Amino acid sequence: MTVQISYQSLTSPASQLALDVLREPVLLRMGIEHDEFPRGLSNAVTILGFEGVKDDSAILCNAFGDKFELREAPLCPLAILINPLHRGREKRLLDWLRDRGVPVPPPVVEWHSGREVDTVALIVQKLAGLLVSDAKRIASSTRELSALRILNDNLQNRFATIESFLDRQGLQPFDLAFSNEPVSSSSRSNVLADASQDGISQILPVASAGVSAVAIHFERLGKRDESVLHAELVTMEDGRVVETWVVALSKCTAGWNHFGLSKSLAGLRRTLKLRLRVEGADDEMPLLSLGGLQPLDMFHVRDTAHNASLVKNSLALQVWCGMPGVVLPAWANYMPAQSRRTGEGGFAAVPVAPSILELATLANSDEISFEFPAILPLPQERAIACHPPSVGMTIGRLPAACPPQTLRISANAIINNEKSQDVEFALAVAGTLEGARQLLEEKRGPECGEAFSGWVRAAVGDEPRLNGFIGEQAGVWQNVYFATRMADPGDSSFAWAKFRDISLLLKE
Amino acid sequence: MLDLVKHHLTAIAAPPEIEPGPARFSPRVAILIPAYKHSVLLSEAIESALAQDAPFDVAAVIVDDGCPYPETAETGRTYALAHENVFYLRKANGGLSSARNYGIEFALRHFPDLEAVYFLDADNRITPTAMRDVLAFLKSDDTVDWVYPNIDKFGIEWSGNYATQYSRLLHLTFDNICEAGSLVSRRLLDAGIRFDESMTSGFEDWDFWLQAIGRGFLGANYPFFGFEYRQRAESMLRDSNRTREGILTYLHQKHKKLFGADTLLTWEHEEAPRYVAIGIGSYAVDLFTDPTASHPKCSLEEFVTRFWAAKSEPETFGIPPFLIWLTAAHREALTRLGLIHNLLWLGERLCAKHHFVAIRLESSTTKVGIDLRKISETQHLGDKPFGWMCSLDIFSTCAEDASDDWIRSLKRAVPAPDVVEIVVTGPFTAREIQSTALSQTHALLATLGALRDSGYRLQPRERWLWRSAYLPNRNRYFELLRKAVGATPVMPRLPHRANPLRVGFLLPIASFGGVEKVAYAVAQALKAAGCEVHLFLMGKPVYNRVPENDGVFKSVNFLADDYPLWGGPNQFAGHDLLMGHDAGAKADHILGFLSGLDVVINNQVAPVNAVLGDLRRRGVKVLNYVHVLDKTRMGRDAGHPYLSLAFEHVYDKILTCSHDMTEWLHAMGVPSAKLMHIRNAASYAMSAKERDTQLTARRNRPQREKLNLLFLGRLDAQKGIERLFATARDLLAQGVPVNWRVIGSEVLDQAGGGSWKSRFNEIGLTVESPVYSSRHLSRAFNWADAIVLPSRWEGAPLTILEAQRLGCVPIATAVGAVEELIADDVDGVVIRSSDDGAVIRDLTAVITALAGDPARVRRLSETAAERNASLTWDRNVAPLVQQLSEWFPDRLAVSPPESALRLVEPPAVDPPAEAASSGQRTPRESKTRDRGDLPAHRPPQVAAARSANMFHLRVK
Repeated sequence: MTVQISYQSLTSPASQLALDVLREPVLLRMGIEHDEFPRGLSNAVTILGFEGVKDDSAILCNAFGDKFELREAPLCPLAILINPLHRGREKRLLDWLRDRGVPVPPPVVEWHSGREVDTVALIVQKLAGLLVSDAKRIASSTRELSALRILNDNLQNRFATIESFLDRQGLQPFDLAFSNEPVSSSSRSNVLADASQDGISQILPVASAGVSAVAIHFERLGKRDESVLHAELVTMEDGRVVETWVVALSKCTAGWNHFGLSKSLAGLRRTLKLRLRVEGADDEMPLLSLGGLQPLDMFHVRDTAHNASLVKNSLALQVWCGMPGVVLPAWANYMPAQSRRTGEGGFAAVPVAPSILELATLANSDEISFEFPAILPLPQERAIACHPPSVGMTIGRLPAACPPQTLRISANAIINNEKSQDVEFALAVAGTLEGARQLLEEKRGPECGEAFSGWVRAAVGDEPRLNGFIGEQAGVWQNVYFATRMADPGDSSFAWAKFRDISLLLKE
Repeated sequence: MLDLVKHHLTAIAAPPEIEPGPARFSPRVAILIPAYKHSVLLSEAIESALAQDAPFDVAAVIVDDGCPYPETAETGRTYALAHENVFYLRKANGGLSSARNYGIEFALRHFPDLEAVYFLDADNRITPTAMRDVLAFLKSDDTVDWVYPNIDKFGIEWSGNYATQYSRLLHLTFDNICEAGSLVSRRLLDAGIRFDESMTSGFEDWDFWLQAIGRGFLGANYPFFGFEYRQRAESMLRDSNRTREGILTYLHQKHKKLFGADTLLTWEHEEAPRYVAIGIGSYAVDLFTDPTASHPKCSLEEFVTRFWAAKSEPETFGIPPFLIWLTAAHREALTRLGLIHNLLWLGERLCAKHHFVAIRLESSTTKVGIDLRKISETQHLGDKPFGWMCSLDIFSTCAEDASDDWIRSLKRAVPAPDVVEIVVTGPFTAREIQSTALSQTHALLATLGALRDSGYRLQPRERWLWRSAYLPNRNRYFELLRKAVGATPVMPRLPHRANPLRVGFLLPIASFGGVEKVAYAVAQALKAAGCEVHLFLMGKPVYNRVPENDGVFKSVNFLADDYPLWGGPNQFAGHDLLMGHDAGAKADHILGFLSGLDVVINNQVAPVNAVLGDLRRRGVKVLNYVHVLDKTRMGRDAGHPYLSLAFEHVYDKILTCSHDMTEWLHAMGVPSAKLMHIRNAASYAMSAKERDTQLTARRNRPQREKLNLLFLGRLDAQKGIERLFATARDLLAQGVPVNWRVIGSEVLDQAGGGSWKSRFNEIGLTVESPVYSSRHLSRAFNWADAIVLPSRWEGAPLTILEAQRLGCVPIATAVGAVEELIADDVDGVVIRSSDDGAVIRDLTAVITALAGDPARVRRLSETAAERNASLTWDRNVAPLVQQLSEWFPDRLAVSPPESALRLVEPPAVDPPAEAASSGQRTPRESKTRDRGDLPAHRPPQVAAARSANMFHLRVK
């Protein structure tokens, strides 16, 4: 651990008092005798008197008047109770706390004899606020956990689908799942011309899973080159736009025109609706081919704006399905999806760039030193070596490597020498080394903008994945800290520990 | 993958922030999430609730049903602290129902603007647009009270299509088609509908919907709901399916009325009508189960569209499974005569065996009947049938067939398809019987042409709905009904809106026998008391028309099937009988035939006893009417009273026409409480004025030189025809001054010694044809001084009562309950001998004495006329009416009207020539006698037991 005082006077009563302060919530009093507090309050929570600051250490005393020094900020100072006559003196204490990285100072509450209840009420209010704030963070974590679970389900299904596709001997990767052939008619309506400005819509007769392309059939195209066809594929159950095309009509041909998805759709099966509208061809709309009479009203071509049936036919259409994630081959004559709807949100897993890996440095050089670089960027391996000391830990830092929208930091942990003993690895995201140290020493949990993977033990040949989640985004770029230590303090020879494939999951 | 990730982020990462401010949080939708042991997955449900993208407030209410896992509480508490629209409620464990109810009460109490509640199980999810879209859908239609989803399962993936028009019939008889994850309107909750907290093994949601249905609420499917159902290998639902039968039994008991045949039939009519009647002339298409009830119509074009939609998506769209071509005028004529339901029932039954059913109407003033003719080389199809009927399966096959040659042969005398013709005979008016300008064969073929030439036919028959079919085809709902009711087919007769008590009279045949006359008279009395009475003929499908009965029966129904009226593979006290499981009992057919009744009165139909137990279990009150104890050839007591003993358990009441029969049944083991004596009265009504006029005429008649003697009845052994013949012959030989009129039908196969007509002719007596109308009967009684009944066995003959009423003196053998009707030498004469020779001798002596003593005849005549002056059926039937009103207090008024019998001036209707000339059997003939097992001579019937004490006990 890094609490220096604890190393220095591990067994002294004063040391024990200082450790207690780092483990539990405390109330700090200034200018008030301990006996003035109701017994109930002093039984409920530890109350320490603040005597002053000496040599950068706070001098505190307990209920029995035992004084001790404290270098680190208390874990959880609930409030500073101060004699009204001593107002102003709390600044010294607040400054001392701020210097130790306490971003939000504890509330300062005046203690009036006879108004103890009011004071306690203020403290309870503060506690309640903390509880709510913690709950929000937990809820946020749980939300991510849910997302990951859903993601895992989908990945499982997609892998299973891929396996089933791979098992299909001699079959093509794409199937024509449905085809509604064009039926010629002299009285054919021009549905694009009849529809309002929002164009037409057509519910597809195939579930979303596996859909790779949709083909529509033009009987006749207009002459104006500048006309543009906008196509959208929307899911009915959740109103999501899953694909968008913007295609110059000049690129379309009479007959079938295939609109390929950027990759086959996967996940839960939904009902798809194809929306089509043409811009810039008011005087001469292209003539879309229709299938035969459609007895099912739901599948009539409809006006997008009013959802009214335009004709008693469906569009002539084809729906192609393929292996999830697979794109239509380059030789296929199809219209590629040109845009994704922006701002719809999502996750993006981004690897930390090799150039950033090269910025890795040793963060706790004040604590450890080696004859060789303890931290060694290995960009060609997409890794950073982090050699653990025999006792204690080596902490490395990637400065400002973590953007504000980061949800998760991940890396693989490996040991590159067969003679090595087991090593423990950890990742942390924090604003300062001190914050990272507290996380790594597990003195507290991650706060706003922070993440901690926990210590993960690895033996030679293992390659566990470390994950640290940022529950509440801080809105600022943070440092990434990575640390190693021997699982069993002692011999760290051959402990060629590396963090590989460090990546960030970003919220877009 | 990015799209997936983005999607999930969309789903989870944007919970609406509930900012404190002036806008008051007042949810219009509350998502209730019961939580028990789904501690981890609970967060997914909550997140999906928080992710709702709706222009109104949505509350998520977590109800922790005493979950033992601390994690559940931690999750619930955490979300409640973190989000102002999340509420975490804790309660002691009480099961899913109690948790949901707890949430409902909370939401109703705290959310004044609440419009709907959604039930989200802790392991399921909804998409972000679900509440917005579904609430809008719910509010777009006032008749929709809850909206249920298609089922999209994840885990074990499966998507089921539930997107068909909501059907209560389907919901009750198929499965719980409404997932608990439905949006429920506040008005349904305000009506007090709650989950049954005693149901802890599943299907509590089914019960919830059944309660809603019972209160008149309706659901609807929203096909793009966005409901995600987590399916794992084991679940509570799977446990429920293991105990399904037990739970279903509970549901059936709890919602007995909903599962009743009437209710289900009504829903079939409203939701999935069984028949479609297509009129080509009018291009109007009627869709109904009961054509007499109001029903929807559509155009032929719409029908064609529906037809092809049903071909494409049969579980979502449907048309009726049976097609009819019959003009509205003919349907109305059949309705007027109370035959339309029976015709449809028969047609449906025949459609299972034949490709097409032709319908022909024939006019007859004397009878109503059904004749089934299988068309063949020897029995041609008549020119231009009045109507056609066929199943959708056949017609659909024809519509898709490459050629229509096969069906076009329906125009020929012997068509290629298998055709059976139903000939309906009845008193149709000339206008009704006129065929229309358009042939119905043409109408059928034109309908086919409309379907075949439709553009929809070109569509390849590929499914457009991508979700798997789970529901049965809509045109098969009639089979669900059949299964639920246990009947095939189900009579398509809906209860009348006024909901009168419906009483069915079962008769083996409908001729002019005493059993029928009593049944008709009781039917008249019950109708006058407010019941709706129906006649069911189980044997020969002919109802010999009695003008006085016109309008009494709401319907006349013919089984018209191979249904032997006696016998069976089982034995009881020397009687062959059928039991319910015997194929010959035709249980499904009979139960379908008799469905839609509240009360059934069996009037000596032996085989139907086999299925009456099933009827009774369905809530129908079952009564048996017993008249007479017959004799076997060897003189053994036999007949329907014994069957009554065999099936006593199924009868709620056994009606008897005599004390004698009551005592016999009691002595044989039937509890007194089950017995009800209905005293006989004259079978036809007569006003006091008319009766006085006729009696006065009799009194003022000049003294005759000869005694006028009348015999009225079948010329058979039971009626003692040999005794009558011998007596007449002896009287003639002795020169006793008498005039004879012998009126009756001859039973040739029973005569043994040749035609009784011939034999009577040989001694100078002419046998007159039977008379049936009240006018002719009264005329015969007025002519006669005495009526002679030398029967070998009887019940309580109506003829005695009718003769006495007009002062005609009965001279009868003391059989059956005759002595209950005649006080010897007071209002008639009783011959107590049993030996044929003694009876002839005594009868001859009695007649000889009366012929010589006009004063005695007058005295007997006067007292006879007085005896039955006050007897009326409505008075005699009053105990039965009282009993019915006790059984159905809300359906029948307690006090019957004073005068029930309709007074109808009998029209001048000639005796049915065909009945007389063809030797058709008159009353009381049944298969028993057809089988030739009746004796020529039988000793008088003796009651099995006579006990004054028993009698006293009974009358108390």
